[in-house]
Amino acid sequence: MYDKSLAMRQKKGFKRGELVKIVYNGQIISAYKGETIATALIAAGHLVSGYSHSQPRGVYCNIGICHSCAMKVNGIGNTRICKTLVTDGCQIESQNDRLREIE
Amino acid sequence: MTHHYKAVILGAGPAGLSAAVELARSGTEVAIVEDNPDVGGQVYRQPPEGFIIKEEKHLVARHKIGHQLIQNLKKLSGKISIVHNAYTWGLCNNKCLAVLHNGKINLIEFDKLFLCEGAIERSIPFRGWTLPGIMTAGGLQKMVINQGLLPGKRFLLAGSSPLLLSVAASLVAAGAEFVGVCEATSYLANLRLLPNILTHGSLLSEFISMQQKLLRRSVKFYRPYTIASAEGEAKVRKAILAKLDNSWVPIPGSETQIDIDIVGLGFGFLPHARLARLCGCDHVYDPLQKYWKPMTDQYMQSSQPNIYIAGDSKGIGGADVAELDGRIAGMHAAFELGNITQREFSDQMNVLLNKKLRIKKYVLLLNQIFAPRDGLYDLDGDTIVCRCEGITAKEILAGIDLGARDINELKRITRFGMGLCQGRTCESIVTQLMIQRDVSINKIGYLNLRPPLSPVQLGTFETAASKDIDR
Repeated sequence: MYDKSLAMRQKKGFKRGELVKIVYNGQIISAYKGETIATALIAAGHLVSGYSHSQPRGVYCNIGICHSCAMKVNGIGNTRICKTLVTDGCQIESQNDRLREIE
Repeated sequence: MTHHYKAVILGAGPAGLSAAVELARSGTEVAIVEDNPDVGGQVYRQPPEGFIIKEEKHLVARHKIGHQLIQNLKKLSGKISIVHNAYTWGLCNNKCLAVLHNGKINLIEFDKLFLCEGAIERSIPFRGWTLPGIMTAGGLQKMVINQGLLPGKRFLLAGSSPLLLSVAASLVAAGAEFVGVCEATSYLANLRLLPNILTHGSLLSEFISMQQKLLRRSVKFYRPYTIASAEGEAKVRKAILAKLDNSWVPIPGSETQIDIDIVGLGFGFLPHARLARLCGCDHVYDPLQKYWKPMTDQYMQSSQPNIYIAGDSKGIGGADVAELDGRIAGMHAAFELGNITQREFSDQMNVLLNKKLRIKKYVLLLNQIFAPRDGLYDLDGDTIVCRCEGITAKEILAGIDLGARDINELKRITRFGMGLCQGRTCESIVTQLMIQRDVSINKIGYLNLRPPLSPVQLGTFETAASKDIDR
């Protein structure tokens, strides 16, 4: 489930927005303003965004078409996290019980 | 809330922005409705708020053209209303868009509508393609250059598209440890492009800037190859590549295996024309590109009155064609609304139409070379076709064998395309499987769309019905 070591925010050439904290399935994750929730979660090693018939799915199109990344954001279900920018304190829950159990 | 504008543009990519600029210059009142937080669309995407990209190497070669277009738009900002983060989910009587914005439903009425919905990436499935870590090539590029995140260390790009080279260049610039490019077209086929690259100045500079990055670090090329399957548990770990024959059927025994963290798939693009379908615009099937596209006349007018379709959503032509499409549509509407004279119209229109004709020659050749061939659709029965509902190729084929000839009938039998994405990803795959079983394309047709085009919370309708909409 957890591949923290692999994803890397590029340092050179990028200036990011201010540091914020988001909450994913109860876990606090650091992110930068301007990042999408998908970026922040992948940077933290969460590649699995949900399950279909107990097979894992991740962010696929990353432009809001495929809905593979849909999650509950601040209480609103089926939110495409690849298009939704992080805000300080935003609450994100995976829509799949199985994923919440594993994590 | 109900708003009214003379011209409403759906989508703020190259086509939508150019149409807006053209209309606003003529003094027409115009609104742009855009699903994203920023203008620019996919190709001219701007850095998110709070982000500054300081080094040229992270920008794609077309960045400057987009920047210019957006500057032109900003100069006219007093005349153009832009509704960001606004999802258009429906349409009333072909006179009014139904838009979800800030959790509320807005109705936006128009005299002239411009559908500039752009393109989506074509998906061609293989065993394991639904594993996390496998993305579209364009989606991956957005993550790397626009968000500054390199989601892994070892990358494979696979498919059949010039986009693969551009994404490879972005990955190399971002410091990827390994980049493999698995391209279905042969070197020989690509040689046919050379004369065009040499004669188009902008293409040449784009080509050179990509090649420099690719050559600086070794990128491993596999061609003519495709990704035959992917393996991993919770994410992709391994890709199995296979050499392709002339029809792009994998050659048995040619398989080779590589360890990777992330795969980017680029099998070209499909027109994204959801609203055009909802409006009832006539469509035509393009057998070479294997997609349905809405029909327009030379001024980009669809078969429905007062509805224009411009850019990739009316057939893939790329950003340069889209920009011209947008200008042509905008200028035609400005003339029809009486905001420019006959003289202005015919003088400028001829220039635009001729320019488009020249670019189109190159685009046609490009589309011919990279068009996906039938072999890629020889799917293993267990391959998932519909990602949302987990429907396999075997189940789709069983539905066809039961007698389904219309794609809507097949949808009801198999339940493909009933998930959150509403068939956006799998419709083109299912269409090819039906063609493979000798069903004629006219019988197959395309999915009937109904509002809401994407999920909208039921409570939103309730609020709208009680407060805002009085009709």
